[in-house]
Amino acid sequence: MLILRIWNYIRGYVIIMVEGFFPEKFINVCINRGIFLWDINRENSSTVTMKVGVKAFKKLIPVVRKTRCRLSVRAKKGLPFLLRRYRKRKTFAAGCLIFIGMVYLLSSFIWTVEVYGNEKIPTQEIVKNLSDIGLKAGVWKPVINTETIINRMMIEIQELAWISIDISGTRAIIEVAERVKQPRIIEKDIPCNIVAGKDGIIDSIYVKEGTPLVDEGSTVKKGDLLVAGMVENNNGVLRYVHAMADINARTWYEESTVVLFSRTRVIETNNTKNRYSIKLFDKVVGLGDTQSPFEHFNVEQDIRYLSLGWDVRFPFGIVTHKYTEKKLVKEKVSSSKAKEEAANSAWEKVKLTIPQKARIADKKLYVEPSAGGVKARILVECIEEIGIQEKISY
Amino acid sequence: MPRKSREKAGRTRKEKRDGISLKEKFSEALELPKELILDVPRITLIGNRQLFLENYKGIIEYEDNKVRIKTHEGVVSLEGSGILIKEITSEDIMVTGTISSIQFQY
Repeated sequence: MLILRIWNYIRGYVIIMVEGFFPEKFINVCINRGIFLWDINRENSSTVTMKVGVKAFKKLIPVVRKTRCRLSVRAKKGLPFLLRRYRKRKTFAAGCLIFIGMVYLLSSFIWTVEVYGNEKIPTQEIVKNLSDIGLKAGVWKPVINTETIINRMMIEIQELAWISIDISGTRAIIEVAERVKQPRIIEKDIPCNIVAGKDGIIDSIYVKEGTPLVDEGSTVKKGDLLVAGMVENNNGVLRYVHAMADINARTWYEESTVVLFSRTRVIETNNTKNRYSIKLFDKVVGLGDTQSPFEHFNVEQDIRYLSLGWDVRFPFGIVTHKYTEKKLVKEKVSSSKAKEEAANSAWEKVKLTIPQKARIADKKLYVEPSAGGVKARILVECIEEIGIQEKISY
Repeated sequence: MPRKSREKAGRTRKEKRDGISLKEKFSEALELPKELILDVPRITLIGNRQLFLENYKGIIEYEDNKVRIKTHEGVVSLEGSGILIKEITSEDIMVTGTISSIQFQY
């Protein structure tokens, strides 16, 4: 019955004390006349206290006369009485109104633009485009037409496949999906050549259509023509065809890493210090000392906005910079460990450059001393498909 | 006043003789709520701390250890301690406190 209690509080109620020989009669008469009473409490043999609404209180006077009780008011509770007390404080009321107005005004602007779902397109680019179109922090919400913004964005950024704008509170939540680049496929009836997509040595070539220009064992450079889309028939007439071939080539990938025997390592200590500043719109005002307390440090930034709930966020906030001290520690590395580390790191590096479809045929590791450390060079031989179809330009 | 109440009592007795049993059968057959058909109180008790009585006529006596409520089925008398009438309307009454006994008095 919390709601009832709140309702009673808003309406205002009076705690009354009824004295008489038969307070029961008083209660019964009240109920018969439709006066709602609650929290009726017997104080002693002759008095009863109860609560009654402000409006119903006026109706009690005839009941009191009829039942010959004595009635006195114990307390007045609720919002109307509270308001009456503050009635003369005009500035206070004005302040309340201004506060509510400010909250309403500030919450009718967009204050943050959040972008989710992008992997390749930088967030800044999306935000910049949005602000050019007219969706940025500080824009009045009713002005925003999400439909046109979505359309303009789709035209503006080609890589977008889909974009949604959700305005919730003072936040504009942008969700995007990026277009997956489709491989260039040349229709089967369009004549084309096959060129090398990479440097390498041809390992195997199997031509289904077209004239091969290279053989097994030929060294090719990127862009070299491998299979021509031109076929000469018995009469010596040239005909353009859609060249098709499986061409596998040996390709090489190389990476190297140097590991020094003595190096300085960075270790984070537990020493942290917070520096606070206040953010007002785009301005950041430092509170006290904003310089870093340490010589070597990591810094994390955390912004806490003043907000109402989750969605209504105002453009004011406290920025905390958490500085963590770092220490530089000199470390000696044994030669065998350095070798191992260098080899591992070179392998990790080279793995990133090898395409997924390539088959690794051979792997060679060369370790050689370099100034103050070791250098690991890794050479990976792969066999992979290198042919790329290219339209013939007449 | 006394004549009027006697008349009323007479009617209830008469109803008791023939009418109510029929009404009771009727409500049982159709599975209708009995308190509506028979005009008797419906009492809901939550532990020994709260009692909710619907369909009552008036309060006869109210002390902090005893409440007597008039209903169509006689007087319902509650005993206990710290008894408080939490809410009262023309149809129902809610009593809280520590209730130790409920008794029907005819």
